[in-house]
Amino acid sequence: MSSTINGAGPLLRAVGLSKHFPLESSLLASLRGAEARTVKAVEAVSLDVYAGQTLAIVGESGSGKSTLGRLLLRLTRPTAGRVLYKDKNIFSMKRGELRAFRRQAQIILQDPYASLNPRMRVGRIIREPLDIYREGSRAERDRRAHMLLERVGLTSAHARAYPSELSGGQRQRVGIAAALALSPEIIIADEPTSSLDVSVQAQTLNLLSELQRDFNLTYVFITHDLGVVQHFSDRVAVMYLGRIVEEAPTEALFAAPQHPYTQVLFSAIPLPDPTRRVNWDLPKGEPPSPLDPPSGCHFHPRCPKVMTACSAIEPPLKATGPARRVACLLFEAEADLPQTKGD
Amino acid sequence: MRRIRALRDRLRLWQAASRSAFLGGTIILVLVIITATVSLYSPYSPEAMDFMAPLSGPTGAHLLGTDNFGRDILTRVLYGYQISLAVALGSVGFGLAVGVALGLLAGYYGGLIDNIIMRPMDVLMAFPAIVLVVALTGFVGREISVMVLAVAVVYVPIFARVMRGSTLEVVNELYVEGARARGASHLRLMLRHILPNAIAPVLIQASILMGIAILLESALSFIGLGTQPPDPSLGLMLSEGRSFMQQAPWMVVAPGLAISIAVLGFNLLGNGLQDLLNPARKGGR
Repeated sequence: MSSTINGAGPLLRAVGLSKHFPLESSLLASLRGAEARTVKAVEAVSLDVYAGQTLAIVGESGSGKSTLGRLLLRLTRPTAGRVLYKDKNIFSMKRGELRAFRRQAQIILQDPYASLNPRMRVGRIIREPLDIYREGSRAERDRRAHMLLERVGLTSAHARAYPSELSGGQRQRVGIAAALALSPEIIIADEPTSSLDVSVQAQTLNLLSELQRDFNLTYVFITHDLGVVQHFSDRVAVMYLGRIVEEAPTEALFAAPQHPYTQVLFSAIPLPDPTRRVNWDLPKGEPPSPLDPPSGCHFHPRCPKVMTACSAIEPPLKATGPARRVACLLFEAEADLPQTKGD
Repeated sequence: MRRIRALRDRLRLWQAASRSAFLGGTIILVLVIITATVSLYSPYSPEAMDFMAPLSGPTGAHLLGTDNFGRDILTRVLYGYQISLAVALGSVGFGLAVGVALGLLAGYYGGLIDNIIMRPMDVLMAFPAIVLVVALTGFVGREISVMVLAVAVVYVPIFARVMRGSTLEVVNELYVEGARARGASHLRLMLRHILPNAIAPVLIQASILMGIAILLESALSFIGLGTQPPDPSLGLMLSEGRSFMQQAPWMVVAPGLAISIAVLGFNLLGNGLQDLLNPARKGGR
């Protein structure tokens, strides 16, 4: 395990988490004895989320990052592995425990156009979490909903509107207010800004970091936007085809990405300085289909530093520094020497 | 200010999309008002026989003429509507309540529960509606309540199937998942989040099935399994008038037209609702 920060244990831990989706197998295929094929959306992922911090999970579309987010909230069941919330497995929680967990762990969804019930007024949407847990009287809940509306930069007049009457940025603020209603400990945000205009993105991100300060929130930030990651997160986990290939503190990762995939990913960030030469070290080709991932290291067909062993061996995540892990054969040798403690 | 504009836009949308819904709704409303109040203004009782004027053509005294017993046809058509509308509303109401509940449960839970609910529905659907209704009324009895229940039995699987389909569409919406992540109970998810967003196609179906219920009631009465004489029923009047078609065509034309108008009203309403509710379902933009 990577070294614990501030001495406190992780708030949320994924341990060996996998999610495989069976493919629709035809009757004919199963009669022929064909093996049921699966998509390995998430494969043996372990990570820790520390209280008060922001962990960013980055990856291309299809890398399994959204599925990982859904697993962390028990919105889907894993094929293998556990998610520990304060050392308790959320998948074996009973009704009451699960209710308590759902109270503390909220979600902000990607698409503010699809994530709000079109037949509910905004005030109701924000009040609903309070209704579910029967917090206080009806009037108190309404008052809190109005307060939350103002806290996220809307007015209490918006409470009477339907989501279709709001702009995308306003809708996402409603989603944030609803997530905040129960004062949760942890919020998992699944690409909260990806469908917003750039200027609105910035406002939303600022709001999210203000709220983190004020309410001491823990974020898991699922995104493909590396610019957002750099400014927003404390630690980053990079996913490729269902696996974490590198995990590091944000500064260390941006200063010196270790995994070749992370390196090519970073070289694709547009530079603010137009005179600087860009090393367009882009990955070759399209990401392979998750239906039929390459053998060994999934990245090897596109890797600029590929070696012969890469197609045969699945590199495990190895510690390469303080709170740093990377899954690449290039680091296999060094990692074996002054190891802290590999997973 | 913005609310006024939104309201105006919504009104405009209604006007444009719903000429047919408006027309259909008006027809139904007028029919309901006229038939509900018929005993207040009608000079005749539906069973009163005018022995001086059997098989009379339309006159000042009998606006739509009389039948072979000298009963006033207009009065009997209006009383007949009462039975038709009662059967339509009763069977659709009952079918809607049961069918929507079953379809919602089947679509929401899926898997085993889906099969337990929907396979018997498939069996019911396999019978032609008229055969099922004839069998039920033939076995159980010929009261109006039996007829209502028989038509409702035909309708339950139809509503269940439409509701299940639109539930399947809505159940995977992000806002449903979001509410689940917040800890909403199954009941809350179904009633607050899925039902209001999945009900539109069912309501469209309901108004069309109202028209079909009127036809079914007429057909049953026509073959003698529905309303019994001397009660006035549009189907029964058609059947009685058949033997006098040569001498007194108004005996069949009046109830026939009456059935057509009511069915037309419900179908216009259904078609209009379809135009109206579909774009609105996509967020009203």
